[in-house]
Amino acid sequence: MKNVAFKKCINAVNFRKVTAGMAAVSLAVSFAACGTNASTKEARQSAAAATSTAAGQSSTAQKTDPFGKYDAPVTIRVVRGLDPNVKFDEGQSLEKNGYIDEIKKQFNIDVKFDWIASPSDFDQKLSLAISSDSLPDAVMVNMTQFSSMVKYNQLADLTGTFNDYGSDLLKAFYTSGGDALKKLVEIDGKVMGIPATTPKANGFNEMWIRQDWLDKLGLSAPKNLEELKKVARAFVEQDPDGNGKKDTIGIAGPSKSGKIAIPDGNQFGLDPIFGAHKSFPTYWQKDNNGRVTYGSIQPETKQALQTLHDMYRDGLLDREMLIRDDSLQPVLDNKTGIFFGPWWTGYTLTDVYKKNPAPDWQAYAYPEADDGNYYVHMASPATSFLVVNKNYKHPEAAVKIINLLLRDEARWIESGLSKGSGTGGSYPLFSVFDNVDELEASYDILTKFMKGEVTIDNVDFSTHKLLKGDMEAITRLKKEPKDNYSVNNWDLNSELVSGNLPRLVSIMVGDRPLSTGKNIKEIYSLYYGTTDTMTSKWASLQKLEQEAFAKIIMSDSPESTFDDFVKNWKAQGGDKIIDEIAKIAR
Amino acid sequence: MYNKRFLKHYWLMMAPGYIWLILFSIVPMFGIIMAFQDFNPGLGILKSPWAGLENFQYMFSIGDIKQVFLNTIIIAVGKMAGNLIVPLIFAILLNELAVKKLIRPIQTLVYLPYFLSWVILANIILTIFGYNGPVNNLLQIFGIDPVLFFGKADMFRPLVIGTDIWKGFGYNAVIYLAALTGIDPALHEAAAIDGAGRFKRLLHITLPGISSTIILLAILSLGNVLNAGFDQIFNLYNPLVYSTGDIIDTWVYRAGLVDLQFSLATAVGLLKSVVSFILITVSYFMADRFTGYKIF
Repeated sequence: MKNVAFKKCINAVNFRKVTAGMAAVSLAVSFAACGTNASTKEARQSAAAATSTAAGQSSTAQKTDPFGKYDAPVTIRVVRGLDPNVKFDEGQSLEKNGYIDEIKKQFNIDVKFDWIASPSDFDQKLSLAISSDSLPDAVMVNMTQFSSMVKYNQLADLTGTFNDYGSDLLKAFYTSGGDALKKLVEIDGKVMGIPATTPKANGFNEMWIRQDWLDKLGLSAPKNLEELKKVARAFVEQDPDGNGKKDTIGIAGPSKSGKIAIPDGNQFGLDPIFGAHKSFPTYWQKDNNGRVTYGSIQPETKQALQTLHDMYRDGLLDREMLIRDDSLQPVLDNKTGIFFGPWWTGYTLTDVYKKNPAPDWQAYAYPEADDGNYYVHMASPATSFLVVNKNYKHPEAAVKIINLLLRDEARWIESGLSKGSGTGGSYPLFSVFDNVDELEASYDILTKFMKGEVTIDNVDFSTHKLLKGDMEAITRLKKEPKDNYSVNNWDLNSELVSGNLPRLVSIMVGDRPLSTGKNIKEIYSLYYGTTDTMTSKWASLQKLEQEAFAKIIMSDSPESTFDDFVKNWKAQGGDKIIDEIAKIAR
Repeated sequence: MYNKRFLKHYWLMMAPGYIWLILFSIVPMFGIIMAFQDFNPGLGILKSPWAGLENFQYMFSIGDIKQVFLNTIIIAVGKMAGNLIVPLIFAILLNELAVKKLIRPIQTLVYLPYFLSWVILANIILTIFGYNGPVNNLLQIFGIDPVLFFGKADMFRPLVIGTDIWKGFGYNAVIYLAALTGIDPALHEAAAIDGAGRFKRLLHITLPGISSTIILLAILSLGNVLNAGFDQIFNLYNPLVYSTGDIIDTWVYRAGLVDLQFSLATAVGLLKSVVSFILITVSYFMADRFTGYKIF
């Protein structure tokens, strides 16, 4: 018994990813434990609020300047995920670094951390903070957390704050998301969270393939499903790595913590194969009669699953998909020939550029559907949101911190401010705020730059934070011919290989299909948020779906599994959710 | 002799333990009311609206909750039985070992996996049973096609139970080994003189000698009927084996911490606690009855 009780303690104190959900009873225990914690924290907060109200009154008299400095110091309590690999400059830490100083200097805002967790534990720790109402003053949250916090009435209405204090660039990003973005964050006409708009390329899944293997076997990149099967078979059977063993994987699949298809960028997912059947699992879409329905239960999805079932049976898909601990490892070990993923996949391939000879990964918007179009599902325009605690007296302070990040990030990179950790590693309330078309713009300018059509001096960098660095890096890294992005045409001996090459490959190879593709059909979901019924039923419905899809693809269970799944899905709350979505989408 | 001054010292030494127990196990029990509420953290435990038994009704309306309970019980009972019998056999074999010098090294060796966390061990096991892992290589030598062990729903429970027993049997054998040393060697010598072989002595001296220990351990493990081991299953399972491998704890984890359904997760957790509490109480009285073991 003692042992069990001890584990509970570890559980409540550490919130370790694995131990966190351990015993059901301890879940209740740890929630409530935080409940008691909250009361002391509330006391602390109200004390802090009391001291800062005086300051607050004087600052309300100031005019609404997005970069205005407070007369009296204002404290903001935040939380942050901290990657253990982040290296700080000498004498610096998360609580004490160039950014914190800069925020103090510019705004007279003192940044304090309620808690710091490793990135993998962050979501759970935040979930517990939500459940115990011991929230920081401001925090970046995901969609599920955002919906819950709105429902629990924990958030401040940011409409006025955003209009008065949002910088022009921040507002421009917001507008670039259009109506889809508004629908996400405006609840009853009130802006409840400020979305971190992400480049649309983030959700664009494409085919990554070993060009050197194709060349070796005398094949060309497969354009449709039939060719894809043929190439995958050749990759499995014709020993492309030349080690005399039949140990290569044709097409990689998701790992055990991965998903077969999700409404976002999905490295190692199988989304493009669904797309080639015009099937969009997990998407809310309209059927031929104009009625709202769910992508995963469509007949097209059934066909796609049948294709995947056959491919798995024939050994074209990774035998150990969904069981493997990590699908990237075989890629780095030169065992994988094809996988699907978005543009940023180039970043995950950092280690392969150091190999000799370096594998040549190229990206294509294939396989195409029967009509020659590449159907691709597009992600939510934002997956991360800045929210402010409704009890916090200075919501504009949080917005100002974001304003500063957007204005000065590029300058900080140049001047080397807190170079070790970087803004991604240690800036409070960090998230990638970007233009929706940032990567297409970067691709366009870099291509022209390589052709000699533009120079560094006649590019406007004001809305492109990283482009200048990219242009300088590509000058040093790119070898002749300048318009061919095969891995051999980069200078792989350069010292920039680990720092800048991954990003350049991600843009020049990874974003090329989206930037140059002519027959790309972008499919958007009718809604990316969470409805009332979804909050209670989505977990079981997702389990139903993932189990059914996995079984249909990987085991011998008959196609009737799909029909059973559709029936159960509708009966267990799916139909009700479709009604809710139909109301929102109208 | 009874000494009041000494008593105070004992209480003082126990104090940290008691404070810890009250803070982390007694106080949080008030959180149980979340199971009967539509819990809203914005309002807090005291002001959240009451939902009566709604969470429990919803729990039973979820299609797979019966399967989840069944999986939990089957895996937990399998582990209980295995963790009782395998260490027993191992302890007896070790005790009978002729080369006494080997007992210690062997014991230390089988003890090792007990100290590894499931996070690490799960990856090792997934590799060993992987499609290109040593087990499948061995099967191929005998002309058997490779098997995707962790992709087969009907193999998941035996694998989970088996690996759990493998991890713990060295540790669990310690109590048996202690009990075995408690048997008077004179009995063995007398029986040997009377012509009893090894097997007869095992049957008539060793087993009766440690029977009360076996019964006690069996009864005390009853409380674990709903504990199938979150760490292990969470690190080994995948959607293919949900039908046989999804247990209460993993279900609650997904509902509570991934989907933020606090009340529902608490309700399921409470039900599990109530069942466990009843079983522990029953096992306590049974232990008293059969072996005279008492705490209070």
